[in-house]
Order: sequence, then structure tokens, then C-alpha cells
Amino acid sequence: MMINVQNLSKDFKVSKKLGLFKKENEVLHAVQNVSFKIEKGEIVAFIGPNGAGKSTTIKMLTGIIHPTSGNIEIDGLNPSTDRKKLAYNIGCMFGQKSQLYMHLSVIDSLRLLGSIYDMPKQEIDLRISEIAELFKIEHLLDKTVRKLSLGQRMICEIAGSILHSPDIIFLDEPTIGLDIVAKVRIREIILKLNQEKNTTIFLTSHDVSDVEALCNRIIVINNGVIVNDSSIEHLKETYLNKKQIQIYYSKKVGNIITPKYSIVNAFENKIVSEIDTSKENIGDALTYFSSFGNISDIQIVSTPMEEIIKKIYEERKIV
Amino acid sequence: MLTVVKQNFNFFIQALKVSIMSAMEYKVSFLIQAVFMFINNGFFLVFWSVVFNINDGKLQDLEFDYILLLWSIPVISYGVTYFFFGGVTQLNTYIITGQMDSFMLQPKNPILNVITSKCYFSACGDLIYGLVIGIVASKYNIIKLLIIIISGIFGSVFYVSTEIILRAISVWLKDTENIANKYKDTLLTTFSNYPESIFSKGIKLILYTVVPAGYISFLPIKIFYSLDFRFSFIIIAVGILYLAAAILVFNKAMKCYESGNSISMKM
Ligand SMILES: Nc1ncnc2c1ncn2[C@@H]1O[C@H](COP(=O)(O)OP(=O)(O)OP(=O)(O)O)[C@@H](O)[C@H]1O
Ligand SMILES: [Mg+2]
Repeated sequence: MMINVQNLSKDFKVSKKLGLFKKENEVLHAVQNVSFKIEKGEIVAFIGPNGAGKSTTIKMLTGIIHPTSGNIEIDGLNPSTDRKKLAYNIGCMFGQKSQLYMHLSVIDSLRLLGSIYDMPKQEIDLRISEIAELFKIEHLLDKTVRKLSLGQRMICEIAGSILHSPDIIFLDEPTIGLDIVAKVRIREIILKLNQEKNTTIFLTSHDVSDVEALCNRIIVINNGVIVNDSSIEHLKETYLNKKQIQIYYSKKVGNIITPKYSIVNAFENKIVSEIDTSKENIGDALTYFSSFGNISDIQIVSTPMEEIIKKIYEERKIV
Repeated sequence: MLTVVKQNFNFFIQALKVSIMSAMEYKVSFLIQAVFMFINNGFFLVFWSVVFNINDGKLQDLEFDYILLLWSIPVISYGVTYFFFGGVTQLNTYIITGQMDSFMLQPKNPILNVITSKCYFSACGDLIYGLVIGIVASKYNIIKLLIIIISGIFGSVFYVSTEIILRAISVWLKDTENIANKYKDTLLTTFSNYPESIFSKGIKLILYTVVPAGYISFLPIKIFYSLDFRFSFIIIAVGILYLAAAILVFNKAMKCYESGNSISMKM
């Protein structure tokens, strides 16, 4: 097992100023009783709304901060007590914090990181050219980090975090602020790392399409508590028994009022209906709707992942 | 053990190279600072030479050489500290703003990482200045010059340790206003630039304990005149104690490290 987390909690003491001298200390439970296990080679998305406790959890898993209580085992090591040893086995990239050296060129930054991980000189250069080819960043190597565009820098940050060939990578919002092209490139890179080296990947993102494109498992955290931990398939099974059927008629049809199917939207020659596939048959529905006119086009779409996650967040807030 | 030392040393050299290279990016501004430092330090020498001239070349049995030494050894220590280990001045900022994160992710000692993360290029000026004055004071005697250089370099241990301790304390006090800067400039630097004999017993006690000026200037100067190298054992022993205390305090401060979410870049 790669990651084994048991009853992990983290409290922060925050002091509120009340007037000039008065202060009030409050305890903020950023992470509460979180447990999960991750096997080698899994790609896990760790998602949740702002302030849910994602970054705090990653910081505990990587040994940056100490947990208030609970146990963590990463690759058989305890991040709090074996921080240095663990550092050789993990890579970590925070989209919001740079690990590279702003004043250096990318290649010098990478070389310095290499020596931090005690890699011999030739090995460093070999590895840099290997990664540069894989990430297609050969043309960026001589640029000063400070002068890179955000997307270019993010890719180089990932390059820096995997230079020492870690078994696990933690990526905290690796696509934050990137345009769609850059996002897709980062996703490709992450997938490649997973496929070629069977690297375990633990990532957070607010972009559901990242999650959909990359992950086989989603852990949802809200207010420091895990509210859902399941495979994407399972999520889809539970939340995706609804399909949307969009039907385009060749001519404008009159108002369709039907007690049988719920109509989400009707406009001109198009209607959109939502069907619960556990209760109704799509074929029957199509036959039914074709009786209203000549159908020129049909689209059947699953409820987007976005909707599912919104539902999970909302359900939990009500509880 | 040996490979660990070798790996750390290797990393240390790399990190130094990088921080110096980064500092070089602002060559002009650093050169200007270095020039001002020369003028500033030079002013004090002029001041002392005037005092000595008025008093027929002697002051309380002190030779002018003594003043030169006071302005050479501590200045070399200062130069070594802020040229090679200038990152130490960032310690409290790093801790308070959460910039220790990237160091904590790396398999190296965070102290080593922090102190080598920045180079004050202007300190190079101090270093050269201290050396030049040292050469004059040594009257070209190689042994005496070596005493100046070696004690100057070792003095940085006291500077770095004191900085670490003060910066860690200012983290506890949540003091972003840098008491450490004030302490360093008013106490350590100043005291080590004045002759030991002008201080009362009580103050001397302080200068050999809380403010380690005694080990940065008074004792090395004693060695310089007496060639009695037994004093060097005292300096080394106390230096190790100081460094150990600094590491202890630093580790304590890191226990309370809570990171933070500020968006940051490594400069
Ligand atoms: N160093 C700290 N001191 C005090 N409170 C903190 C600290 N770090 C995080 N918190 C608080 O802990 C909670 C969880 O923060 P965390 O950064 O883990 O959220 P997140 O899930 O990463 O959110 P986001 O998606 O916005 O990045 C927040 O309420 C935050 O304000
Ligand atoms: Mg976060």
C-alpha cells in the first residue's frame, strides 16, 4: 500500500482581534478524522470546495506540517518522523507556490534540485533531457524561470517535482489559472507519468474536467470531513442514472405536455427531457417522442460530472 | 556518515553558487551598496585615527593596530555571514509567510537550505575591506594574517547562530518588525568594533555570553598579540555551543510551523 491515512486531524489556533488589546483564541478544525488508503499506481482526485482542507491534508502527507492527531504512512514511512527519507520517494507540486528558482534558468533550477536529491551530475543531465523530451520543454530550458508564462512555469514545476523519479506525486491544483491547451498538456503529462512508471498520483483541482480526464477514484472532502470516497464508475452509477435526451425535430412542434417524461427545456424545434434510466427505457422514450413529429437529430448525454459534484456538495451542506 | 557529509557539502556549494548568481543579477545596485559600505567603514577608521593623533598615537595603552584589528576581524565575519549565509536574514519571514514549505519537501536540513538561499552581494565589500585592513594590521606577517582570516571566518558561526536564535524568537513573538535587525546592528556589530578595555566588568560579562562580541573580536585579538592559541579552543567550544543552541531553537520554532496559504515565489 502506498498511502495509509487513519483518523487524521489538524487543528489550527487562530486568534481573533477584539478591539485593541483583547484577543480571542479559537480552534479551527481544518481536517477531522480523515481516513483513506491508496494503492500503488492509483490516480486519486482529492476534491472539495475552497477551505475544505485539501492543501492542509497534502501538507501533512508530505511532512510539511505535523498532524494534531492520527496516523499517516506513506511508502511505509511516517512523514513527521522520517521527513528526509520520505522526501526522496515523493514529489510535490503546489500550483500556488513555486519550487523553482526565479532568478535561474530552468536548467540551472533543475540541476540544483537534482543536487538537493543527491543525484550524480551525469544522472541529473540525463534525467533532465529525458524529462525535457517527455514534457516537450527543450526550448524552455535556457529561459529564466521568472520570464516563463504561467503555463510554461507549471509544466517546469512538475518537471522539477519528478526529477528524482518519485513513487508518488502530490499535485495541489496543478492546472490553476491555465488555459485549456495548457491544461490538456498537463493532463497528458500526468497520465504519461502514471502509465510509464506506474507512479501513484494524488491531486486536487477545482476543474472537474481534470478529474474526469485523469482519475479513477474521487475522494470528496468538505469542512475537513470526507463525504465521499468512490470510484468514478460508482459515482456515475449512483448519480448518473439520469440521462438527458435532446431531440431536434425537422419542424417546429406544438407544446408537448406529457405526464410520462419530465421536460427540462422546450424551444422551437428542440426539446430536452430527463430520463431516469433505472425506471424508464430510453428506446421507449424515443418511440414516444417520435410520435410528435419528424426527428432530425438526437443527442443523449449523461449528467455532466460537474453536476454530480455539485450535487454531492449540496447534499452534504443540507445535512 | 561520510557520504552524508559529502552530499550536504555538494548541495551547499551548489546552493551558494545559485544564491551568488541570483545576487549578481542586480550587479549595479549591489556595487553601489558595496561602495557605500566602504565609505561608511572608512569613516570610522578616519575617526579613530583622528582620536589617536590627538593623543599622540596612543589611547589607554592601545596601539592603532588594535583599532585596525577591531575593524578587520568582525568585518570579515560580517562579510562571510551575509555573503555566504545571507539567507539567515529571511528565516523569520520564511516561517511566518509559509515559505518554508518547499524546503520542508526536500531531503536536506532546512537550516542549510535557508541560510544558503540568499547572498548579499554588498557583503563582498565588507569581506574585501576587512581583508585589506587585516593585511595592513598584520604588517605582512603570514601567521598573524592567518589568525585574522581564520578567526574572521569562524566569527561567522557566532553571527549566524545569533541571527538564527533571534529570528526564531521573533517568530514566537509574531514580530515582523525585525528586532533581530536592530539587535544585530546596534549590539553585536557595534560592540565588536570597540576596544575591550573601555567596557566595565558587567558589560564584558554580557559581551562574552549574550552578545558574543568577545569571540568575534576580543579573544581573536588576544591571540593575535599573544600568539597563545589556547584561546582558540575557547572560541571553538563556545562557537559549537552557540550553533547547537541555534539548531535547538530553530527546531523548536519549526515544531510550531503551520505553513500558510500565501502565494509565493522563490526569489
Ligand atoms: N496555517 C494556517 N493557519 C490557520 N488556518 C489555516 C492555515 N492553513 C489553512 N488554514 C485553514 O484551514 C482550512 C483548510 O484550508 P486548506 O488550505 O486546507 O483548504 P483547501 O481545501 O486547500 O482550499 P482551496 O481549495 O481554497 O485551496 C481553511 O479554513 C483555512 O483557512
Ligand atoms: Mg488549497
